[in-house]
Amino acid sequence: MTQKKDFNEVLESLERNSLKKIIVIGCASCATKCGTGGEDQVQEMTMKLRENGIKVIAASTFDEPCDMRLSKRDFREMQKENPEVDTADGALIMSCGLGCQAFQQVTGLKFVPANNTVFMGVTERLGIYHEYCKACGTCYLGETGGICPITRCAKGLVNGPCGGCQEGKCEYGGYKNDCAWALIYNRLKETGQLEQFMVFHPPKDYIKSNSPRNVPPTWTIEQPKTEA
Amino acid sequence: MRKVVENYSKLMEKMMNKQFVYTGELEPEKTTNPHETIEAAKEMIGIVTAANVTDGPQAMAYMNSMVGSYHVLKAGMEPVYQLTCRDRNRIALIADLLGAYSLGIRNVLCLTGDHSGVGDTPDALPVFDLDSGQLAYLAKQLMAGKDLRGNPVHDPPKFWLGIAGNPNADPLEPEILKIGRKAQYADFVQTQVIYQIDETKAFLKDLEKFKSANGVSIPVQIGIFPMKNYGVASYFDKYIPGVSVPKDILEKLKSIKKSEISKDEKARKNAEVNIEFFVPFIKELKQTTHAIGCHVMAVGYAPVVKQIIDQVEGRA
Repeated sequence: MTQKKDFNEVLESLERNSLKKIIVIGCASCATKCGTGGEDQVQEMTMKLRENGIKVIAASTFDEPCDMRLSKRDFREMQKENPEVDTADGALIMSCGLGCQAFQQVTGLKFVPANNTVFMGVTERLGIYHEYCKACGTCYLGETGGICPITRCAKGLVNGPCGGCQEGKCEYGGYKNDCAWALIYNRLKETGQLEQFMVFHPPKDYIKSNSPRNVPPTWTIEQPKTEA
Repeated sequence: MRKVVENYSKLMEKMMNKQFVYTGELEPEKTTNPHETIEAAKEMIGIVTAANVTDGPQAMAYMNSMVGSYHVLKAGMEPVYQLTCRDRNRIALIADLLGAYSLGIRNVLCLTGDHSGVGDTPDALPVFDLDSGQLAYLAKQLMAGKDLRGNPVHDPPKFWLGIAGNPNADPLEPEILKIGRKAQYADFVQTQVIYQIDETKAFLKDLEKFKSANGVSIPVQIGIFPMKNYGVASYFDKYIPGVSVPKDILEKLKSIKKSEISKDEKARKNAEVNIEFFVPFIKELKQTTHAIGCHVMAVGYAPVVKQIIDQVEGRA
């Protein structure tokens, strides 16, 4: 999920990077859904940039800028349609941080981001998104009634609830969010699986969530020998 | 036959002997000066068996509780070192537990800790690498001579380990089950403050089935909070989640506040209200429940705490 940066911050960032003649790249996937990089936003951004003295050579909304294969294909298309694209100082990218970096890897172009990437989210409806997964590398959903404690508990506890739950709400943020462990308890009770609630989870293996991660893995940590 | 166990602390000794035991609370604040904590610790000598030393309560960035515990120990009061998982990963927790033992600290209260976002430094990174139960599990591992990965620990520590419980939790059932889940790694429970005797009894009954690390029904100390004046009482009632001070006490303290009598007279009357409430409350606990004692959270109210305890114990 992405949120727009303040326009003045975008302008300052372009200036800091000496980007005066640029291309603008949107994203037809997630950023379109978020209203931060769809065709309408790309058009609006292009106009505002031009009003502020930035030369926009071309603007396009890529299918999925985070997929290097598609980014490469869509950029070639853009070059074919307008050879002036090759004279650009760089790009303004209206996608998430993945789209930005994939684009740079396949084009080698300098860029600045137009958005802040905030989380991986589920869509309730357009404009309403919730963070339900943190990609921690150890999925607990099969043991917690399908509710992620790593993400939906403010403390990321695997043995909750903590003392900060009141009326099923979490102390963090002033009792507005549901306590994940109250949800987990309710769910396991409903499904007659409260014995799962009593399972003590040992300390989590954070090696699995340490960055940078790749598939297939390119590194491993030698595990100290654990006594039998 | 019960195993003969060496007692690591006075708190452990009393609990192992099933003696009703009182603990107090000390709160090092945002200062380099331990004077107040030390003086408050000295005031409690002879009144309580041990005193908790808080670790950044309500996520406030205060003086380190291990250092506070050490000052308290040197002042002649046995500390219950509160250790939270909020600010330290497991490497730091191992380091702190080993260091604490080397300083003579023997009681540890294992806490998850309030979220950093509710304190005075809300932009801090909340750690929570472990939770309170995992911290107790870690401490037990260290006591058994190994760390979480099985690496050997030389001269392993010996701790009397506590965990917290909240009888005011809402919903209550997951809280009770959670205490049961972590009780196996702990030696005792200290509860959040509660004023309602019936709810306290029900809570104690619910916990009775859970076994501690020693294989006995886990000993539970009930949290109580004698209130110095109406201001303290109403703040507690309003801002401590789930805690509700009985209306009649609030009314009595309020009318004392409003009355046109001297400051000393007000203090005396406030003390009377506390004595009237807590003496029968604690007596009821002692006589009709398996509570192992009371954790008295009133900071800086030692003389009245003494009067309450003396009356309960028939020393007055």
